[in-house]
Amino acid sequence: MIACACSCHHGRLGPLVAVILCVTSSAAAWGAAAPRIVSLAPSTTEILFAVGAGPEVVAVSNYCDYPPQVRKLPRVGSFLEPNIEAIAGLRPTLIVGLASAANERAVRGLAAMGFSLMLTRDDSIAAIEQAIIEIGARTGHRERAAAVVAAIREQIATVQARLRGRSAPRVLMVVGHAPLIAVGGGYLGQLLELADSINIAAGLGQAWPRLSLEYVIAQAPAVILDGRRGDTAALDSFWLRYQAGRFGPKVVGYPLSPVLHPGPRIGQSLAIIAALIHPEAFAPAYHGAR
Amino acid sequence: MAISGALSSHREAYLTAARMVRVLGALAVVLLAVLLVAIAHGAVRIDLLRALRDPASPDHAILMAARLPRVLMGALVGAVLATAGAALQALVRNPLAEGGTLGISAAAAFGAILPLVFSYRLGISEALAPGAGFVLALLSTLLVYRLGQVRGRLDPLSLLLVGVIFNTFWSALILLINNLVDLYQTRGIMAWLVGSLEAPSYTEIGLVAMPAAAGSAWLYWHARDLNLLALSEDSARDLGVDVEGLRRGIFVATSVMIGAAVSVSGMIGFVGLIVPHLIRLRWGPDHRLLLPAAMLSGAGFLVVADLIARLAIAPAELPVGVITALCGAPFFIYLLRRDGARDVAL
Repeated sequence: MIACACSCHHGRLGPLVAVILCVTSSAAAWGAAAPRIVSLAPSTTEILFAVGAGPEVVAVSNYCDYPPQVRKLPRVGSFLEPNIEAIAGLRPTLIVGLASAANERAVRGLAAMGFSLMLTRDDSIAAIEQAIIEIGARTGHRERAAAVVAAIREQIATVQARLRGRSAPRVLMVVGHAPLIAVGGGYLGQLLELADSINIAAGLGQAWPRLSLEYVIAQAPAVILDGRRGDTAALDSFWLRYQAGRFGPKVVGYPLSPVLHPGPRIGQSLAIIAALIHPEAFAPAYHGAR
Repeated sequence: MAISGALSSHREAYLTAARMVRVLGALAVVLLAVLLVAIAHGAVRIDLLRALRDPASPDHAILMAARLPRVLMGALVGAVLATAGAALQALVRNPLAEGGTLGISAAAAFGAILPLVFSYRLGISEALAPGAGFVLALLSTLLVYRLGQVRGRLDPLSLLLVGVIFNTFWSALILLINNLVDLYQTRGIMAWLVGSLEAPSYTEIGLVAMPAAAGSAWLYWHARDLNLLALSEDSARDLGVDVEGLRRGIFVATSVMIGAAVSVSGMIGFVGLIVPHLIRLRWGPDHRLLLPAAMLSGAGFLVVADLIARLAIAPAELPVGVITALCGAPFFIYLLRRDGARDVAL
């Protein structure tokens, strides 16, 4: 609109001047406009809201569901397949997403359209902390971001203090039954380690290995953390089949949110996982988590 | 497709009882050996004697709860896919027909995915997956059968085209769901698209075995009629074969078999295509030999493919459908070209 008004007013000064004026005035107006942020992943959305940039978020990915107010925002695809038209229509001043080889084309497309793009990682605790700091800096919320990271570190320290001196049980954490997909590495692998447990699916070189049941039975984990898809009875009967006389793990369900959501709530996820693995070490309040 | 030349081009054109016994006996021995090797090997080394003697041992748990049911299911699904593939190729008189091309597999996979995806939200059990897959496979078959008719008669070409379209449609629905669920469920859905033999229960094996046995028995019983149908529809009719009834029967029998198998294993490709053709190339197109030979070879082939899937990156696993396609495709091309580009004959 500004550009249009400019060319009308300055038309008689010659096209060149008009163009220069229009470009400079519209660029100034663009720079001064309120930030409009599009977030392409659940983790970046959570981080934006945690550092205080929530009011500036104008659209989120299809998978975003936390904090609850994001459910009312427009959806613009996922970080793997962003809806470029929808994003362009929102005229964002910043697009925040995840770095991934699978979305290179989409990212290049958005960059070619002139949008400023910020790519972060969420596959380890350090990467999540770095993403919080960087997003905080980029959106002008450095202090809040530092406080969020400090809070995560404090939660981790609190859990570790409670677990000090306890023996580490063998643990399997699964996110799917058919096929059996386990937590190998990534931030969840790190959380299992911090929760003082031995992850039987670690060290296979895959973040989400598709695990052999034979291996699970042979490794005899004492605790199985299950994403509880389906009802309790189905969960128990699934694992009962493989306990066959000898191997009787304690099967506990974990809440998908926040546990499967990397982001500012990883400290909370650690507390939940640790309480499920070592219920005796935690206050009775945590027993309700099952 | 050189259907007419097929019978005469084979070294042993006539099927004798002695030849049946010889071929099927040899295949049965090979299958038995394959089963034993598959039971003896896995992601974890176990002591088979100890597994059988001591029910409290981990070896027993691994053998009885994980390995044996999986090997049995592999043999069963392989047998079903190969037998049904052979019959479907005769039905539509086209060497490309199998459960996948007629939309049966994709329908079963779509039906099985629904409870798996929505169990968490709707509070229904994951255990409903095979049942839902089976029901949807039958529904899809019924539709394909209705739409594949021209002037009240089942038309092979229309049937094949409608089947291919349904296959695309059900696959698109699977991909649609894949785009709507959360990221952690997408790998489970992909597993149904490529096929997996993981963790069957003995109940599931029984539930697949019953329709498999009934369907196969019906097909063997009509092996002679299948020969005539594969040769020429007109001559089959002239020789007193109820062509319409036979086609209906083949379609129902194969759908029931494939629907049951795919609703527990997902869409395992290539077995239904490759195995029948290998048997035809080696022993000729007579369905009295082709059907049981395909059954034995299909069982062996899938058990071997699954053994590779289990061992390749143990203790992690690969989807068996990837192995069947990776091994099957080049091996098939080799056999096809070995004797100098022989026609693919029915």
